Amino acid sequence: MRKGAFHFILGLFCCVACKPEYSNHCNPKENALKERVNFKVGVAVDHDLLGFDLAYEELVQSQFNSLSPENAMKASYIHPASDQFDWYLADRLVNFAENHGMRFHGHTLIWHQQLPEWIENFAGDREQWRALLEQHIKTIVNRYKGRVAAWDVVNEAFVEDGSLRNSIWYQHLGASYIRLAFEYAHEADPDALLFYNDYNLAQNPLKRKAVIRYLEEMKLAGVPIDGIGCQFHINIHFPEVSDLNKCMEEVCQAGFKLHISELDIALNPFSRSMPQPKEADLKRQADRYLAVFKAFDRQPNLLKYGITMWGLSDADSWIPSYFNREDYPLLFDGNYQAKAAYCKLIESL
Amino acid sequence: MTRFSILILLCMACFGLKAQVGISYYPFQSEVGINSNVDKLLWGDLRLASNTFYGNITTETNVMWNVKRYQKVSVYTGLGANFNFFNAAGDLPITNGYAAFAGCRFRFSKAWPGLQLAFELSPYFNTSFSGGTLRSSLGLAYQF
Repeated sequence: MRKGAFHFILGLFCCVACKPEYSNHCNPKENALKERVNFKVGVAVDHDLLGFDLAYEELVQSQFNSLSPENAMKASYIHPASDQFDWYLADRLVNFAENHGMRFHGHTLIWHQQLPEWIENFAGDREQWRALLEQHIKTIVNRYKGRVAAWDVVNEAFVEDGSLRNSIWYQHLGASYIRLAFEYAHEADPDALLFYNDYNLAQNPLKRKAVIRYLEEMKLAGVPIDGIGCQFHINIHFPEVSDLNKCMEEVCQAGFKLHISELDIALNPFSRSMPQPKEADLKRQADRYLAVFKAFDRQPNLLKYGITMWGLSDADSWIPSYFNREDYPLLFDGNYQAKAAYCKLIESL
Repeated sequence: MTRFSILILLCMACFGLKAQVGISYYPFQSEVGINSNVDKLLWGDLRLASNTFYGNITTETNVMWNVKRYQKVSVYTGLGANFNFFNAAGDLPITNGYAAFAGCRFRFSKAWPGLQLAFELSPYFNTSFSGGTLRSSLGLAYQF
């Protein structure tokens, strides 16, 4: 018995030790990430590249079947003046998605950042702020009714201690702006799925529980909310995979559709000098990507809305410019060559 | 560090094969455990994450050393490794990370001398020691 158990454990380790190392010899022209999984895989696109950079465009349409606008639908772009909506950029992206049979995910209707100056300086009373919110949401959702499958209705309304952010919307409308936003979006397009979207939901259980509890109560009160977008801007060091699993499970257990809405896995969260990514870090990044995809795939089919990469290549990721550091968080390098993470997904999914 | 993981696993196997066992449950962590005789100087402990998909079940194997043993309380420290054996089938590393332990067990019932309250602090690190968490656990245990 003792000998048997010893051999079993030894055998198990030999199996693991003999597994082949990952390879990075895979060609995106001969593979498609979207065909490896039974859920939608999306990408947030840069409107300055889509339509202007052929290689970018080809990679987007060959690898993904869902599209999110990284910026084009944020208020500062789409609603630059109180009496003016600028549809040019958003129209281009929605048309691209339709022409290539891709799902379009609208991002985002209500956020406290990237607001146009006229909203930041708006001096109305509570009723005028409510009317502004209603007009902003209904005009945008109406325009794309039937063409946008789902919307991130409210983005990042909570802070890290689980309380509501004192945003410009909160200051003028109180907590009711969240409920109103979902109701207006639903009135404008009853068929669109409506999501709440936020960051650090895996890293911070306090915030996650507060968000889920708040949205559950809203849902019970009849507010039309379908899902939660967990952004998953994570890195190779933390959070633990078990925390990512927990986050996904808790969202689904609460009955919400799950969207990993802004996935990227940074290599350099401590902002060290990193002119080139290290091989070992790229391998860890690859393992993490695979772990996220596999954990997502274990969720109930009805609740799997999809995974969206927050950018296509390391060259167009938001991370290096936002944090002022060298980093390589996405599946493709700056020359649109597949990284180890892409290869791992193609080989192991 | 893989050698360390193997060592911990082998120690656990030795403890498990010849020991008088105990069980434990840590409700806040959703963990269930089985351990060898906690009254010995060295004892082994194996914990499984529960209330999760099978593919997410992690196994933590720990070797503990009783620093002080009193009639009602034992104070221990230890080292362990956290695995997900299902990862082996999924082309992922099976070792998730490593943990250190400082804990104590209180025998609080005269009528049930095997019943114990367990409290632990446990710094946990990923396999590269570049990130981790400070865990605390409170649970009930029974030594047969």
